[in-house]
Amino acid sequence: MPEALTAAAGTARASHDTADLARMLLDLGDPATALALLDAGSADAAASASQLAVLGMAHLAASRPEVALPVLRRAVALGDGSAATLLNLALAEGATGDTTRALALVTQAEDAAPTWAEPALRRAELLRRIGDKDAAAAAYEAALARDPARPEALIGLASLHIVRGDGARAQMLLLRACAASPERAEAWDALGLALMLTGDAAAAEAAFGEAARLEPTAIPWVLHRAEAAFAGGRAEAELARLEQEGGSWPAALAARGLLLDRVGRRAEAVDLLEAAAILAPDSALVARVRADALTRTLDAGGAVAAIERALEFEPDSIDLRNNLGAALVRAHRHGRARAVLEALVVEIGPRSGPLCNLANARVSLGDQEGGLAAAREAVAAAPEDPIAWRALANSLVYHPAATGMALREAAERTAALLRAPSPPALANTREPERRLRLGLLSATLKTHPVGWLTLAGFEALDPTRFEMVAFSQPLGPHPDTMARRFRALASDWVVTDTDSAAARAERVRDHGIDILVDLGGNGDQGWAATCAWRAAPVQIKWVGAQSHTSGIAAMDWFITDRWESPPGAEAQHTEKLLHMPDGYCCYSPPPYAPEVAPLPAIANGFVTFGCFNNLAKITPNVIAAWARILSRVAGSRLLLKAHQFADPDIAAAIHARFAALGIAASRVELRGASPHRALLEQYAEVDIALDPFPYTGGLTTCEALWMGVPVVTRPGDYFATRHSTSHLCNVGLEDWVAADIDAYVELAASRAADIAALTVLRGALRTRMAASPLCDAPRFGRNLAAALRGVWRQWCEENSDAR
Amino acid sequence: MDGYATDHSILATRARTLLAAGRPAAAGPLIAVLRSKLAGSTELAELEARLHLAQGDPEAARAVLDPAIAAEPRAALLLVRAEARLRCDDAAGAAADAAEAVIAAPDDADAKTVLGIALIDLGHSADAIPCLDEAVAARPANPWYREALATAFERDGQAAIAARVLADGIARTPAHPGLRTAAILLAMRGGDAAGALALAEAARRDGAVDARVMGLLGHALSRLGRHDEAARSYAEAHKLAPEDAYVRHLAASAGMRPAEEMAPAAYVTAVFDGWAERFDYDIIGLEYRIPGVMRQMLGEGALTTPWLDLGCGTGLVALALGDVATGPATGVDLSGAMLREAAAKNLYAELIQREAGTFLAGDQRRWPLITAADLLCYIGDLRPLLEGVRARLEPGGRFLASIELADADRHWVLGPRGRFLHGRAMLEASLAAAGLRLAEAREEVLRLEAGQPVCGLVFRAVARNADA
Repeated sequence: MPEALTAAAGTARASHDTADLARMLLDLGDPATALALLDAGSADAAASASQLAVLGMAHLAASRPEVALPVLRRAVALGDGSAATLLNLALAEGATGDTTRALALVTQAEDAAPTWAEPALRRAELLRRIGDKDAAAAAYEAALARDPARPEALIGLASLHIVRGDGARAQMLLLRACAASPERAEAWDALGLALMLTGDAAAAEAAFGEAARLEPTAIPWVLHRAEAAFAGGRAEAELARLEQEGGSWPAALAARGLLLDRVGRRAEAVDLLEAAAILAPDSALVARVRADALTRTLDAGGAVAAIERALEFEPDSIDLRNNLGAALVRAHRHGRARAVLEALVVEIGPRSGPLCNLANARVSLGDQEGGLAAAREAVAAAPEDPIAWRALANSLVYHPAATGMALREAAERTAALLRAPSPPALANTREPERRLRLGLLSATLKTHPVGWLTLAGFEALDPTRFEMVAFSQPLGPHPDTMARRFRALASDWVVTDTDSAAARAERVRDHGIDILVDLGGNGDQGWAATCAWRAAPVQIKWVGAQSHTSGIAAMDWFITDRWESPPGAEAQHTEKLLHMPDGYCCYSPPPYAPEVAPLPAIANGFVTFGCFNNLAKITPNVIAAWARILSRVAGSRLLLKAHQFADPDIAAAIHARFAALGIAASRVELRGASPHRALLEQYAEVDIALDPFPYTGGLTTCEALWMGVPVVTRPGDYFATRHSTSHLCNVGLEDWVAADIDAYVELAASRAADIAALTVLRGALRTRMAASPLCDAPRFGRNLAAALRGVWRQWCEENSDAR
Repeated sequence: MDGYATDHSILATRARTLLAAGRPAAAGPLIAVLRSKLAGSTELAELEARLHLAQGDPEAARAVLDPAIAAEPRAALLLVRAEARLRCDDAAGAAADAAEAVIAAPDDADAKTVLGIALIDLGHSADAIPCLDEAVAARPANPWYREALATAFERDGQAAIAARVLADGIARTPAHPGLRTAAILLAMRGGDAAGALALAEAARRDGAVDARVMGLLGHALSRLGRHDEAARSYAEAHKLAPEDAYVRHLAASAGMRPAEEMAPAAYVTAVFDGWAERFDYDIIGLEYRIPGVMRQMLGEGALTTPWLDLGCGTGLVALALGDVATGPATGVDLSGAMLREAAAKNLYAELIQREAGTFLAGDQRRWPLITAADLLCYIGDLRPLLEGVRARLEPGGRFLASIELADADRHWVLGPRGRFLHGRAMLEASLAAAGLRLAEAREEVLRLEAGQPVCGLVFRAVARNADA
């Protein structure tokens, strides 16, 4: 304690004016010394009301409301009805949980001191706490009527306007607050938030910048400044400034991480945000920013963990809970995803976002009916939301009752809601024979069915005739081998994952792309909507969520083949069909594929059927058909492999479905995911692969064939129902295609009875496939080149009078 | 103010974990915070040094470690400085530090390995063996220790033991492609193409496959004359490492992708750096004729003035011409290892590591004689290089070179062995376009390869307006 005060303390003790001195110490912000001065004597039975009042105030100031409460009650009981004591008692009551009593006391304090702003201000805060925003606003107004420059009231009232979305009114109040109390960082930050509401990012950035200047280590101000910089198109400049500053405190790290995430430098963002989270483990804001960033990476497991951490701070956040559901789906934890999303929907009612994610989760669990129901609810809740219609189409495609025309309708509705404006004029020169610039549009230019089924074809294109530009995700620090092959192929790699469809289309146009090949469709990671903005003169849909028509009027062509799209299929498509002479894609087997193993039935003495397809494709009709096959083929087994089966509840549900059809669990083995080579090795245990329907295998069928295992398939009437038919026919195995479900069962059973034929086929299948058009990359490349050149020539001809 | 994590032991542990996970960008800020909490401590010095190493700055790591070690020569610090010194090519310093670290921590397998690697770099393979042997005994499943031990045995002339070390490691960690690659290379260097092929095929069967394994599988097949299969392996290697210039050239030579107009420098360097130590021994067995034919073409007149040997390799042309071309020779080659072999022969006044075309463009001297034995086979379109040669020939100067012959009507084609073949007519046209003319040409068997003759042309060219 300062010397002067020590002397004063001694005098005060001597004159019994300890209460006054304690008040002075409290005014100086030193409650600890005030308490020491007052000591226990002040709380004894002989203490006066004023002494108790001061003691109570000191305990409040020392953040001990539970100790202050009885003291202040006694003070009031002894007759201290001053506004200050009533107010302090109200604060103690409020802090210890009795908001009702607190409100009553604060009103009494207002009545006792009608010109004092503090009681009204405290009343406003209490009313806000209980959610009565209108009454809180009135209380703030009352406080301002008594003290027009009271910054807490100005900021409080402004924040209510911000919550209501009234940025303009909030700004007026906050400008007053900043003028009255320019040293209050909180005021500048609130002003920035109000300016962001009215879209004035530059002014907002300046306001946030002032808050950050006053308190440079305060995470919220610094992060808000970064957000404003990004909104104002100054992300790179702000990032450069922060990097120049070189701060290692959490606020600076988090802001850099946020900006790095916004500009697509995701791996760097994740590193800095992890450091920020380690250094500021109690920051809800850092946890939230980190969760948001990880949600945009491929690290689904990391995203789940980060979102769960953020939820510890914000357990009621709808956004976080919805994101958690989506991340759980991506992390293949579908059971928990469903539980999280169903709980959320029950709590908040039907909203498009959670319902779309729930549809995805249910379909992934093999509940096609439940998935479609959720998607229909999403559409009902938001009939103008293209995301809801997309979810409907993506659920419908797996449903047993889906038809090509129904899918077309859903796709067209989705596309219509994009509301793309009339396309701009394109500057591409109309020279039919010049070198063409192809755009590859996909978030999955990596080890993915897109890679396995298209890369060899692209690599076979003559680079003197075709240049390729990739529009994709960031490559990251450790791209897989297929991503590196795509990168090696492309003259440029444009990161476009955070762009809107319109912005992405503009970037494609800026690159002078002649033919844009969409390799993502309308799946979760699909950007086919970009094509609605006419990004290139010619736009083609190819592999990548290529299950049915895109429904987009500006999607000109759809690559297919005669097996995928027999005569009459045109009616299901908004695109023109571009038939390839052989199959519609080219399979590139992995270099590490194991050798084909001998037919396991020979050693086993029984036939093993298998299906390594996604559970989403396994419908009740499929299970019924498989049960019939197992019943027909005595002693046979069924090996099913999908990541979902690692969940014991899911596995038990599948076993129960087979049991209901008379097939014991001992005959149906369920396995979870494996690394890719190990998965391929497990085909050594399968004699015959059974294709699901209506949505058949695609890459899975190619892999089964490559491992020597023939596939029984039953095609349907739209594109996704005929992938296996295309692959089998391309390899010359037309006789493995069944016309209907009964024929499918019969085919599987009859082939299982001919072990000798299976043995011969297995031994020759890889060689046969390698020599077939399905794996002939140079041949496919020539065909692809001819097809691309053909559609380009046609475009030149059709547009020859346009300039 | 938002709360900060203040427990420095937690921060240090997290930083260490992040560095071990290869995430220096995440570790860096934590270490920056630790600077104020652990200032002057050896723990901080170690973390900072490891951060610098992870960021590719071994000099900065040393700058941090030197004072820290001077104050307290802890084994952990010595070991990190040894690693930094190795990266700065200071094998002697690394050995000294690693030796101290081993003395301070006799059970530290990492320290023994670093010491062993440093000793190998210093040429003391026999001394490296016991260190590395102990490291492997301590951690038999560590593939890097085994690779180092195998290298030591091989350099000490005990290739069979090296092979056993690697085989044992492969049995323990069958999925590790590095051990497989080391074993295959060991067999190839020992001239055992069949053994190398068996090892590569086993790697592929077992799924321990990366671009190097597939590339070596192709090499082994090529050595055995199974070129079509080799081509498929190169194509698979390219799938696994599309950005690798070496693999890309092999895939092109296999016809699996369009060829570039010259072999990438990375390809040439990789081939000859790996071959340099035994090149002279091998090439003799392949009945290499180009230097001898060039000697014949040069005639008997002595050349006492400086001359230029492009793609000099280990100096076989200088050796062959030594009795006639007695003037100071300048040798140019892409491969540092080949140049080291040439330097040991003391035949050149200067040796320059550079691509031939780049050298010709940058060096202003002119020469009465320029040779290029087995250089043009790494170039498709000859004209740019020939123009460079023309510009550097003195009046009356001679250019002696060789090509591998393609069919007469072909321009140039990248052959299955990674080398370019040229048609004779194309050669003459390229010479003419560059201002040169063919003065003399001899069709020769340049050497044997997989038991088969490699046919080519050894020629002498002069400026177009010069006398023959």
